[in-house]
Amino acid sequence: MSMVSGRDEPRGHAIRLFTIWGVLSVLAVVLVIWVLGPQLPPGSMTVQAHGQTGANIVLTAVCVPIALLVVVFFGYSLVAFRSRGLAGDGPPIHTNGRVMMIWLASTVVIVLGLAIWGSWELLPEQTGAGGGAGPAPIYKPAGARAALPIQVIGEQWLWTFRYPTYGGVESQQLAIPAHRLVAFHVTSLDVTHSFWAYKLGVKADAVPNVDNIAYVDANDTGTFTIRCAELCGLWHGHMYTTGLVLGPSQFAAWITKTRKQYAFSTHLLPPFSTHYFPQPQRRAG
Amino acid sequence: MTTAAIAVQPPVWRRLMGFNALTGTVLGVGGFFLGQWIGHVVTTGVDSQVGTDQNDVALILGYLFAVAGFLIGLGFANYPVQRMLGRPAELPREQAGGVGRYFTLNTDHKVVALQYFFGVLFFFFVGGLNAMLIRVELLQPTEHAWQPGNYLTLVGLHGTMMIMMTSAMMLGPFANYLLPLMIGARRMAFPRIEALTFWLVPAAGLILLSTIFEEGFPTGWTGYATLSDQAHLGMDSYLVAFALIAISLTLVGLNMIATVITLRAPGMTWGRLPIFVWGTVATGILMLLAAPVLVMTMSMVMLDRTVDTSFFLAPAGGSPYLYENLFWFFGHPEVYILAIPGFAIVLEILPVFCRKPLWGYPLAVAGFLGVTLLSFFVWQHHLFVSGINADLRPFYMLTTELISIPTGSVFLNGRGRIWGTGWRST
Repeated sequence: MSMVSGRDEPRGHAIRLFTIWGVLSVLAVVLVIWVLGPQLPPGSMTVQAHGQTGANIVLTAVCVPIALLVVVFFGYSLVAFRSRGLAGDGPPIHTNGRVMMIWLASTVVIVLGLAIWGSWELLPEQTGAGGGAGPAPIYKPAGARAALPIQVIGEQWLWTFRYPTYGGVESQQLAIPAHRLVAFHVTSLDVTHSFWAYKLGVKADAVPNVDNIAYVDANDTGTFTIRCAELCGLWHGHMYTTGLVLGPSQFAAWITKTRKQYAFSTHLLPPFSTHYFPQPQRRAG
Repeated sequence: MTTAAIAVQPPVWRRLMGFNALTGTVLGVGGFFLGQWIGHVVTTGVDSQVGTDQNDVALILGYLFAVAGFLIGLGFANYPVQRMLGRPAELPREQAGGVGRYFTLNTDHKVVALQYFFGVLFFFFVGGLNAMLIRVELLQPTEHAWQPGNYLTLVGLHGTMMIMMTSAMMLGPFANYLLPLMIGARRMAFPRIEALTFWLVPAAGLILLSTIFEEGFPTGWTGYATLSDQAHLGMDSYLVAFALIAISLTLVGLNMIATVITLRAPGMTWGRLPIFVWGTVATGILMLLAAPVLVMTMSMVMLDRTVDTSFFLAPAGGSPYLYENLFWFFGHPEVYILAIPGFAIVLEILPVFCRKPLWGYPLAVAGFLGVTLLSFFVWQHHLFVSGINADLRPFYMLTTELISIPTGSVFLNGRGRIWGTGWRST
């Protein structure tokens, strides 16, 4: 085979290898950005989800050439450098300082670049990550003070949503207004749950005695699913419901209707608090 | 000759007597009931235990006494007792041959390695069987093969078998077998401890499996408090088994490091160690530093469940975050406990087929040690949305990305080795 004749010309092999890798990488990056990219989760229902989709596209576009380098390298070596029959030992190369330095320098640059970029993405001007950021987030989006607070209460095994600025009404249905910053205050009454509204780009653990805040700013109206993402016991899989993103006037109508519907029970609820002190539950469920 | 051989061969029942796995099992079962009885006696009048339908104190004491009985039956008490009676400290000169030796306390490193190999493989297949049973439930969305609680237990058992029972999957068989051969030693530094690390594995595995007789556990393999605190008796099986495995891992790490430090042959300097030995040292450091945290964490959950402490109970002043931090402080190094020996084995095998020396030996060593160091600083990336210290997210993002530098250098070693060689598949 022609490849065998080329064994003594490492430069020729290197040029061939990097040509294959370069062509494949350009193709793959184009495909990632323009074909796969728009399909990547979690979509663009909210500003936060849109930002996460963008981050997913960037990370995939950076990772694919690196993965291709490893795969193409091994694939090429397996094909090009195989010897059949009784060949002698391979060249006793112990190391190559220049290759090592180039590799270390490039991995350091990529890694530090991604870390700096990732931290910058968390900054308030960049809309935050949509994840639960604890009781006192230092990265607050603009207008966080005027955000609509909605409390998400997890318990075995259902979600309850409380609207403190609307008389503290509680509902099993979550509805949020579009084009308005919403602050989810996630807490739990018993064990650790995780409030996961995938299409909103929001995931925040619900922990007893903790007020875990996540901000979201919806672009489009529509429905989204809510799941529990932390194994919480027997009916974990049933902590599943559908939420609504409504237009401003629809939301006003919905909240008025809900307040009227639950007026009989709202005044019986405990006063609103960022977290509640339930009794310790042992051997339940 | 043959008649003489037959004449000295004792009958089967006589050969089964003595210190072996059979005696250990008998004493273990006896110890279990003794511990349960003591547990019931000491909790008389304690409403949080006897006032409910389950007595965690009795079950945990039962398990601990069962382990003690099992180890005594195997002969682990013989040496300390003999030392107390003034006998000299020495290893047994001759050990039994044949298949029977794999069911006894044996201080031969190759025997322990094979015990590990088949022992861990057994639990590996049990874990695989659990996965099959999970798939059986998922065949149909509307028809159910298992009760909901049993299904959750299967999920937890599968994860626990695969992560915790196979933690020593790589080091147990391969390092115990190859490490002394590679550094020119005749044995490991602590042969009795080496045997103990293996025999804790079947003890933990059987205790974990016994959860199916105690209504199982609902938490999956991570065992998050507070869910673990409200769970049924089967949770105690998980806690005791995981603590035993963690003790075993700690001792494995200790034994590996001590062997490499003290028992290298003359001339086998640190710079000449085979790369698999370096991988073993790195993994040993991980085990020695990470696993004791797990022993403590499991003990704290046991205390919460038995004597009503409140380490992890939010309403009583504790925090579920504490459990998450402690668990993942072990849980992330655990990833590398499984991965580094695999990397090291690949780097050891590649040069054989490439017929070429190791490429970039110092880089590979630095890679292993770098992964070891950094893996203790990344655990909160499992908890990014938990609400713990959101201001630390950039730090954990940085460390998590930094760890790909040493990992990448290990990949470079593999690639440097295969480049330009005439590799052969035979």
